[in-house]
Amino acid sequence: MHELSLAQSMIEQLMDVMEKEGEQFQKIEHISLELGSMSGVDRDAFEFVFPFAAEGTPAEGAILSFNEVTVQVRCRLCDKVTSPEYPFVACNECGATDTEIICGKEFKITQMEVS
Amino acid sequence: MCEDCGCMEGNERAYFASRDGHDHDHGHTHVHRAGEIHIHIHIDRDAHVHVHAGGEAPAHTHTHPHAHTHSHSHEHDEHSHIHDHSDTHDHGHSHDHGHSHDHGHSHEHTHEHGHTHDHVHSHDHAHAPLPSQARRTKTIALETSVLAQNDVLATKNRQWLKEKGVVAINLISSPGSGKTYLLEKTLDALQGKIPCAVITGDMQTDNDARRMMGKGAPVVQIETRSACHLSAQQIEEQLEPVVSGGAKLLFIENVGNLVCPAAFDLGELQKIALVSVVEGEDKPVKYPVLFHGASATLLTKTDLLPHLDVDIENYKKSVLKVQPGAQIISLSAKSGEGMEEWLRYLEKLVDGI
Repeated sequence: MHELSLAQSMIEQLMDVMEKEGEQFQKIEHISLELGSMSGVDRDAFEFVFPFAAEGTPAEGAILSFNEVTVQVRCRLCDKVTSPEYPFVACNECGATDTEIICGKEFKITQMEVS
Repeated sequence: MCEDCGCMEGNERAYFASRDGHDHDHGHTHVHRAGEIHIHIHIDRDAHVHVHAGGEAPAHTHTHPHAHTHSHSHEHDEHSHIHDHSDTHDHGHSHDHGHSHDHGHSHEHTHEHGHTHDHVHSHDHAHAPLPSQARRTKTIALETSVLAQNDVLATKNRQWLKEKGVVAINLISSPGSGKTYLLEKTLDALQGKIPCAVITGDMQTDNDARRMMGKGAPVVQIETRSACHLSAQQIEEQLEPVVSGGAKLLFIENVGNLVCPAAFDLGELQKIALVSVVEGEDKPVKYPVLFHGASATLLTKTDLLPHLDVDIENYKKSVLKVQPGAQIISLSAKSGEGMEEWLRYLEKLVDGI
C-alpha cells in the first residue's frame, strides 16, 4: 500500500504550488491525474487512501479524475507503435520483443483547480 | 419593493441568487397588488414569471411549470425553497465541476387579488453566481510526477554516489526469497576484493543487520515501521555514514515486497529482482512492474529444484515476457551454484565506473 505515501507526496507538492499562487486560493477543488497501467499504482487503492491523506489539508474534499494510459511500445524492428496486452511488452505487429515502452509507466499530476 | 429579494412593482426583476456572495439564507414577505407582474430569476439565466392579473377577479389557482437548466462551475451542497403558497420543494444535489444538469420542477399556487403572500426562500447552496460575484477559481496546468519529491532526492543520491565512485544496487523481492542469505555469502566472497556496505530495510527488527555484520562491511538497518518500502529520503540520511569508510559497492536490501519498492527510485545504479524457485513460475508476469524495471533477475534457491515440481526454464520465460532481453542468473547461495556468475556481474558493475 504505497499509495498512501504517494497521496501524501502529491498533496505536499500541490500545496507548494498553491502557496505560490497567493493567499486568495485556499482550497484544492479538483486534481487531474494521468495513470499508466505499468506505473505500479493501483487506482482503487489511491482513491481509497486519498481522503485520509487529504484530511485537514487544502485538498480535503478535492475531486480526483484519472486519465488511464495503457502501455504503448515502439518496436525496434518494424518501428510500429502498438499496445500489447498488459503486462507483455512484445510488439503487437510483428511479435518482436525488442521494444521500447513509450508510455504507460507514468503517474503524473496534469492539472489542479484551486479556489 | 421587497426589502429582501429586491423584486419591484411592475415588470421588474427579482434576483433570488445572492446579492452579496455565494450563499444566502433568507425569508421574506412581500405584497403584490392586482395587475402586478414580477419575474423571479432563480439563477442568472432562467426565470419564472408570476403574473397577478388585474381587475376584481376572484381567487384562482394557476399552475405554472417551469424548468431551468444551468451549468455550474462550482460545487453545490443542497438547497431548499419553501413557498408557503402550498408548495414546498426541497432538492439537494451534489455534483462535480464543469457539468450541466437540468432540473425541472412545477408548482402551483393559489392566491387572491389584492392579497398578501409570503415567500420563504431558504437557500443553503450557492446558485450560479452573477459574474461579479463569482468565487475565483484557477486551473493550474502541471506536468509533475506524483513521485517528484522522491525522484528529486533519488537523483541527488545518484549524483552523490557517482561522485564518490560508489555503485549502489537495490535488491527487491518478496519476503523469504533469500536476499539476506545471498548478501551474507556475497559479502564473504567479496571481502578483501571489493569494499562493500549494506543498507537493509525491514519493517521491524535489526535481525538482518546483525546477520551481515562482521563481514568487513558497514551495515545499517532501517526500520520502516509501517512503510512497505524504502524511500530516497531514508537512503539519503544513511548514505554518508555507511559509505564513508570507502565502500565501492553499496547493497540496498529493500523491504520484502514485490509491489511497492518497485515504484520508488532510491538513486541506485540498478534494481536487481530476486525470485526464489519455490515462489511460482509465473511470479514475474504477476508482478511485471518490478521485473520489467530490474536490470537483472536472480532465480534463487536453485538447490531446491530437485524437490520441486517446477521447471527453471518456465521462470526464465516469465521474466522474458515482461522484460525481453533481461539478464537472468540462476543461483544457490547455499550450494554456491551460480555464485561465480553473480560475483562476476557485480565486479563488472564496479569496474564500469
